[in-house]
Amino acid sequence: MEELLVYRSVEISYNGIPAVRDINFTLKSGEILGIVGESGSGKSSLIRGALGILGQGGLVTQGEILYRDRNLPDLTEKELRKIRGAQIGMIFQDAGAALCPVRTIGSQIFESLSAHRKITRKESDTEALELFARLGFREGERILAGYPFELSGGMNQRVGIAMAMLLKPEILLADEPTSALDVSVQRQAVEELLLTRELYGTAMVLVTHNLGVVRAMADTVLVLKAGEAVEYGPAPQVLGRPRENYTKELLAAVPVLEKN
Amino acid sequence: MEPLLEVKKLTKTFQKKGQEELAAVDHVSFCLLPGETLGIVGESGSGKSTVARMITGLLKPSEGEIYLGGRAVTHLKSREQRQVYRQLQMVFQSPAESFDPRRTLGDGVGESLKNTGLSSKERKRRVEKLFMQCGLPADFAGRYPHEVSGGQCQRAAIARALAVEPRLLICDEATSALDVTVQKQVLELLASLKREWGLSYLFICHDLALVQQFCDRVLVMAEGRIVEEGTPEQVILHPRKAYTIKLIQAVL
Repeated sequence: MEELLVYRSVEISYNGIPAVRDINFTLKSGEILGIVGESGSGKSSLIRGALGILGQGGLVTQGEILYRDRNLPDLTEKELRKIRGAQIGMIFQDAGAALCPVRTIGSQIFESLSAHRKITRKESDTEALELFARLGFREGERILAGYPFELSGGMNQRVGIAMAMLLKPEILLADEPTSALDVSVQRQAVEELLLTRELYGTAMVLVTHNLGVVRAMADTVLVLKAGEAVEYGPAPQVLGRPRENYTKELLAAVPVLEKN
Repeated sequence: MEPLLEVKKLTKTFQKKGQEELAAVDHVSFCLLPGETLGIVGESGSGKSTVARMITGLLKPSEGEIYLGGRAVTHLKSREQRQVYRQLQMVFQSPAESFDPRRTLGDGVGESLKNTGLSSKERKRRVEKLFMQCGLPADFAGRYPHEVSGGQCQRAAIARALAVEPRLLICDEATSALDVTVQKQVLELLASLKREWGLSYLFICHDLALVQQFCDRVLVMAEGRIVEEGTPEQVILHPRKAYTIKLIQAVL
């Protein structure tokens, strides 16, 4: 299979102080990689580094992040803008906050689509409704005409996922996409992300501290601790037969629901 | 055994202009026995936290009665209220936000002791002892909330709650903001405090697995009502209500 995204001894620093050191992994097309670790372990920095959205003082200071043989940190802002969204999409933890509060969902979807290709509002609405139907959203028209505050937190997050998918990116980077959601909505969002992969073959990097979500979705898992990779391998091995003590500790700390 | 806390037909309604009255909590009744850990689970908006806020007196109930150690507390005057409310304390979800950012953790923990007439020297000793009982070095009393980690701050919040020697701790998503490894440590602390101090807990949480591990009895809430009630064994392994079954199946 094709190697889409390659991290080669990546180091990310904030104001000269390294937060993430010597990270290596490869994402193939259609693969879902789960990155797990505690808060402050550098999970989010890793995926933000790829899109150049580390924020003030954040820089990729060593190594390469290769997307289709192009080193992303070397690209100019203009070149990156073409890649962001259309080729590498991003889903944030709080999609509701990422949406503009005073504009309808429909107009924001139109804006995001027209930034990358020539499209009319009507076409944008049709495409959005089609995807909403596939994802099983009820009352798609009402969602398009509505404002973010009129939707529940869960619905906002599902809209955020749908918006990222509408551009049909090859890679989706998801930063805690389900952490703010109730369990029932969380399950729905996970199923929608899996459906995305089925429909479009999207590869994903999923950053989360929720090991249940990783178990349900990931093919490969990378465990981070204090900015360094502790373990990297196929999900059944890392989650089922962890080699490193830290991974074992992390897994043991997660309360698992006993079900009948 | 006489219940430590009893809630009868507790109701809270909110009225928004031009909208129908909404019952956030709708005729909820339950009791909590001394030494028991009672869990409340449910999705966001189910009314879990509103119940906690009414019990602690942060919100006035629209209807219903709350009994603490056999005494009705809903209509008490302030002096009696202070007496009664020494029996219960609350631990909040966000540890750092529950402390004054411009005062040290020791100030926050010792504040409730000021009202009990302790000298400042004695107070300092008590605060340091509380810190150690909650697994923090005594010199943490001089630190500010932003100088400690989330887990350490939550330990200090537990120390603050214990300062007045309550019988009941209400934990409203007290471990939800913490990493799993830290969550485990805080739960171990709560479990050991329960043994040593004979505490009871009202444990509000949306994590079913955690409730299953930690609680003696569970209430399942949905849309302001109690849907199902029983031991974790009954409710989680053998749920009877469709809502509970749905909730359990959704857990990944």
